[in-house]
Amino acid sequence: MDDLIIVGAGWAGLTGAAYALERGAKTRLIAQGIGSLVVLPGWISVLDSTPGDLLAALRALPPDHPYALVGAETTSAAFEFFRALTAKIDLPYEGNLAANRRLPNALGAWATPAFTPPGYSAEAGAAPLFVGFKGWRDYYPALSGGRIAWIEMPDRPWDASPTDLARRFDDPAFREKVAAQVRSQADGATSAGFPAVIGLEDPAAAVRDLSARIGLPVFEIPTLPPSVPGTRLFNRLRRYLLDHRVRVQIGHPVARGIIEDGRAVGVEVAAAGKPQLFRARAILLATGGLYGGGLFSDDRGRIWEPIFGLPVKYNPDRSQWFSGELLDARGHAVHYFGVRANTHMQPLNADGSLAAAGLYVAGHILAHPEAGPSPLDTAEGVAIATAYRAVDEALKG
Amino acid sequence: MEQLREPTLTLPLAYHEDTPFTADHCLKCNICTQACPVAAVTPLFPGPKAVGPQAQRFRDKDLPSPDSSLDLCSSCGICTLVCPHGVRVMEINTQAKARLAERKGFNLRNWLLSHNAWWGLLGTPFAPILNWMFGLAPFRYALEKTMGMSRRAAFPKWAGYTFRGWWRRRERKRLNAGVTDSPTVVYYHGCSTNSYEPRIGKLAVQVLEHNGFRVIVPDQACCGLPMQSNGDFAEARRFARKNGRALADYARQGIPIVGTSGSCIMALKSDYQHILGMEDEDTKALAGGVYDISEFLYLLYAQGRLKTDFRPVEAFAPELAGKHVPYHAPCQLKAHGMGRPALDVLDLIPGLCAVEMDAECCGIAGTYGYKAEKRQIAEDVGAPLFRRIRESGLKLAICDTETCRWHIAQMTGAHLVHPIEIIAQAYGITPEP
Repeated sequence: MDDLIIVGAGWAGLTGAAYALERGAKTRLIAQGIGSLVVLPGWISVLDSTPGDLLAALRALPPDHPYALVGAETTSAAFEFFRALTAKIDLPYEGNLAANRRLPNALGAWATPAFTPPGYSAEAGAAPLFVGFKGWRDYYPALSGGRIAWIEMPDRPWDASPTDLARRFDDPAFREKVAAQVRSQADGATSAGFPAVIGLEDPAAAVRDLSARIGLPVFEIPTLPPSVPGTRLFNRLRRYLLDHRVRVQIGHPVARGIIEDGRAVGVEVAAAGKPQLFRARAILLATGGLYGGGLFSDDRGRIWEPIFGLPVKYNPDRSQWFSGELLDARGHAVHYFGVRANTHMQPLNADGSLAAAGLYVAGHILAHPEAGPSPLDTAEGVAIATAYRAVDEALKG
Repeated sequence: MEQLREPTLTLPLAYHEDTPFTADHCLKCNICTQACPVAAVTPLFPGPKAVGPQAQRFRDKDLPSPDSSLDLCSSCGICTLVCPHGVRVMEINTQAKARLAERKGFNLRNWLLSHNAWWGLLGTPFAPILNWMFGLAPFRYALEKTMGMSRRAAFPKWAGYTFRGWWRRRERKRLNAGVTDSPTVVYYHGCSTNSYEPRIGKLAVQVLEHNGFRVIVPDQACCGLPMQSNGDFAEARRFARKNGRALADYARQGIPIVGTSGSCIMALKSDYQHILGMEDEDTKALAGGVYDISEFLYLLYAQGRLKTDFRPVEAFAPELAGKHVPYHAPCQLKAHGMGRPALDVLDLIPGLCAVEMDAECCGIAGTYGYKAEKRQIAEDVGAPLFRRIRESGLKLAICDTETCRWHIAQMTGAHLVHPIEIIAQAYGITPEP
């Protein structure tokens, strides 16, 4: 029997599994598909809108916020674990909780994540040069800033996706072709900003080499999906988990959770031919929110959790789900809905009683208090911190 | 007054009819595109999203396909596995490829490749000559130039006898064995075990008997998967019906049907209904009643019924002790959704540490990598896997499906084994003569 089954292969599921294996747990990860890693920029948002000391801000959150349930100190430890993990898998993330970083994004605004992978780290300086491939629709440098350079797109019969370009950047000869074109247009720039496609296999080396050839610091800017920085992390995390003999089963949804005598004992997977039952000593639901498929909704104002039928905290008045503004800085009310949890990351009923023993929840499936920061500002950070805490609690038994 | 028509009652669609409509779930997130092993190695394939849900909107059953780049899809199914939204990308592509094949008409090369059941049997009496011929470079060159069968592809060797022949002789000897009340299990061998690797069938039978089962090997047909993969659904259905008639009754009686070819078992579990669109009593019985052998053995273990008298690896393969033995989970095995039962059973062998490689697909994709125009893709797709296996230095790797084993063995020089071969060794079981 497994010690832990984790349902979901997003930020929470994968980092939770990596932590569980470090704790010596026999772990099985089951997911219906690949999670948000591969479409998000790949950096860690802890508290995007907070200026200054993030640790102090974590301590000042409403007590029912996911970070508060985990605790500020444990949250900090979770990020330390994550940074050490990324160093082990040769994709070392930088950053700390003293302050957010400031990076240019594709639309010429500033993104403020706390931890960033290689590629995002270089300073733009006073006069960044934004480089774009002629005719490539996934990144348009003129939207990022005034100083731009166009380089030739490699010849292809079909549109290139970011991953296609990233593979080209793994080749030093291609990097030299690109560098030569940028050098001739550099003209007093303090840095060169590229769409985030600089290498898939060995991005740190690719960025270093490209930077050396151009003679300028090079930084990456997130593109439309698929996210190459996210894909790099996903590939390395999956390999790390497999190398350490975690079972990673991606492709079939969990149809239902099995509860016996008030305790979650297993999950039933909608597999080929017949359902497959997997049992474990503890189960962690990291299935995401409405986009991840951890929560379902309908046009009658209902929201539910499909696997264990956990109670969901939400507003049944559907007219209140969305702000009048599409790009509301606070997000929409619907993003805050989710499953309530205690400080042990166990799911709770509306009256605060335990929904089931042996069951834990982490990531975007969790309810976020309206008085707290928008879930969009904390996405990856909440996933990592709550998964870390949930795994700790789950393995206590 | 104009008579209002009664609203048409819309019945829920059958699974395979519903498949093209799953394109409506597509968000164009490109998660499938970044995971596709073929798109990763050739710019000629635009990726599963493009030829799948995107092109589906332009497909009309009465019109020619919008383009032929779909032909490069290997149907490995990784796209469907990774899609988080329920788009059945691979199934959409497989159905569209079948219509493309219908339009293109009969292709001798594809017909031969998909009827390996027949030339497997026909070739058995001529095994030594055929094996010699297939090892001759000029013959392989001629075969490539005339038939389009890649001269670099690893064709299996005929064993010179069939598993069924061995079974018949063995059963005749046991005629007087008397009635037994052991639980019964049906063994589904598949074409390659029958003609090329009867040794695997022997080991499967012996391992099942070691665990107290009476094995029966009824008449059975090729699973039909190669015909399906080459777009000949009508032919695949003929074989599916044969298997339904031969085996469904056993499933209905609760007698498990166990197989050693992960891909054949997947066809019986799922493809008959979900791709060939055959939803009847027989296909439904088969779907719930067939098991991959590792799946079956691990189920026994979970029920406390598996003999765990395994020798430690030091006793039968000391060169593997303390090492990470590479295990490749083929795309056809991942499609089962049953986890990694081979690894779970191998973990029961003391001292053996099998580790799953992070390769999605070895590249052969059934008959795909045998085709000259796709050969380079098949080699490039598997390149990272081959490198890892070579770097392990062990000259051994484990894999549940046959064309994968032959392809990986050829590209790495390693010895490729089915999990049952290690399990049998651990039990101290060697194949009967």
